[in-house]
Amino acid sequence: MRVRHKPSDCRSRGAIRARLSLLRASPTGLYGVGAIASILGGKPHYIHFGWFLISVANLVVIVLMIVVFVLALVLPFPGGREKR
Amino acid sequence: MSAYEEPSTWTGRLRRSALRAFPPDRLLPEHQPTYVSSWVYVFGVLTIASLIVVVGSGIVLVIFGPTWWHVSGIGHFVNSLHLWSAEAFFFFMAIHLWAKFFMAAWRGRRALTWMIGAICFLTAIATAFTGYLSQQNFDSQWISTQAKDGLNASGVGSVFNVLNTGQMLLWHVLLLPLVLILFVVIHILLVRLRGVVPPLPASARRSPPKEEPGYPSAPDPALEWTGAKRHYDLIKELVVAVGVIMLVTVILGAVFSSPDEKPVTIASWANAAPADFLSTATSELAGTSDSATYGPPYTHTPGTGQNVFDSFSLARLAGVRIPVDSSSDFVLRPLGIPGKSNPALAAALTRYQSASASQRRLWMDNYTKALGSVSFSAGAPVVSPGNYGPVALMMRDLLNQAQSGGLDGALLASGRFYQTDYTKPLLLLADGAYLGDLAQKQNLLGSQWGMMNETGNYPGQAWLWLYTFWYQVPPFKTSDNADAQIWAIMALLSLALVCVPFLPLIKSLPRRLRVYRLVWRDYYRRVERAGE
Repeated sequence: MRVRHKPSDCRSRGAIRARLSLLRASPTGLYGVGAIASILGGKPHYIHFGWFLISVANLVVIVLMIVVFVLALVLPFPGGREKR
Repeated sequence: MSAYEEPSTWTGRLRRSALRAFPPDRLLPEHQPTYVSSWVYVFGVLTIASLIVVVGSGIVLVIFGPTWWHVSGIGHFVNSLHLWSAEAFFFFMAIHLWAKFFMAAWRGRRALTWMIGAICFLTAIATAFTGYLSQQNFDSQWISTQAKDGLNASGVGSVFNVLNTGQMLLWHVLLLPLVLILFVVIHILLVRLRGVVPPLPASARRSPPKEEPGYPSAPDPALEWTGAKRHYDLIKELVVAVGVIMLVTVILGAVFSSPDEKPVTIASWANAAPADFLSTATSELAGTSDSATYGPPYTHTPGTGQNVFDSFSLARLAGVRIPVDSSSDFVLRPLGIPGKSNPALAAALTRYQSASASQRRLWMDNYTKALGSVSFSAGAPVVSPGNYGPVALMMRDLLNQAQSGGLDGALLASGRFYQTDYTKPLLLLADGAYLGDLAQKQNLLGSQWGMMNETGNYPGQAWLWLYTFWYQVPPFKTSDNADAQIWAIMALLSLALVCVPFLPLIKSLPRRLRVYRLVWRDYYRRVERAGE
């Protein structure tokens, strides 16, 4: 995902300096993606059921693991040349 | 004429036995049994590919040193690669472990392969854990101050000091990776030696009337597979897997980056929460803080050291190995530095140290009570008039020293030039409420499943879920010996994971759950088709 800018933003020297400072400020050093990184670095999101509490990020990882495992079990595997 | 006999040297014996066990076509095969036809088989190689990227990115971080990634955009990106490849490593290793469990992969003299694999998993947890401790940011400060209690309760903390950043960094970049890589290599060699475990018998009750020679219905897992094989390119698979993991981690690193919350310093604490700093420092001087009364491995405090059961304490058995004298280490010795150029402070220190214990206790009690209504004027603490002896002046100067950053240096100073041991500043920080308040906002407390959480919205150490689970349930939730007991439980469970091939009830689960029918469905289809 890239951060969109109005065309006029890119004309002045000030705008170019602002873009360069954004590049330097980006924790990845990659233009435009700092905005996404700030989502993960922002206010934490948690799911709470009684005594059980889990971060959305950890839950996503665990669910993804289960999904990948199930897919690996059920998806057909491409066959290769057989040799007796 | 007698035939030439090869001299029986150690080198020759080793070469011959290595070649017998691992002839080149077994070590680098170009064919594999046809039953190896499921996506679940790719997770082993994806785990190894992730490990290669973890080690590669780790080597770059080592080349440029431990502070590089905090101050450089490229360094931060390499750290992100390291983090996401480590996440991928655990992700695929866990799925690989599940798959091997459901396939009962320990059959046919493969128990050792399973056991070494499980040891790899446990070693990887220790390696990743020391990585979190070596980050030198808020996350590592919090994790180390919390993890110390579990390790100290198990007696391990007296040798493996999680507050000693230099020690943890060396474990993370040298010892543990060396052990992990060694076990991974042994695991891979065992897989090559024994071969991939064949399917469980097609039918538990009877053999089919007819069998296709390439698809025996009940292959003996202890014997080499003699059925049908298919072409296979081991190296190509590994290279492709490394490429995929590289691509995925580059995308994840570029898009999501990696967390790096600034560490708390004594100076930032003393400036942001001077009242908390003062009350903590006063409790250190009075000998009533958590650190002052901790017990082994820091202090000889009677009745301390958690018990695993009854009065059996591994912490007490390990003894006091990292001695800490809170009043001297956190207050009197640091104040001695400005005291050299401040006659009033020097006089106050002399007066305090020459006073009787009861006199000191009276001053401390009075001052502690007065701190309940402390206010600050131009940065200096103001308390209601009372009999505090030299304590008020000492505490005012200690706050000054802390706010200016002098105490950060004084707590690290050990008479040597290079400093890597942060035990004292971390203990002092952990005694205050400020660090805990910041951690609570990040949901990092034990009651918040904190050990598996990461700052911000990043995935954390999800692999510590079972460890952190015990802290949420009775009786451990309220037990004074929770750390010692949970460590004992986790040690037993880890041992059980390693010994799965020998646990009667557990090792029979894969046959009952029948997930293996999905893994080897093509093979079973061929067997059943031949029997018709």
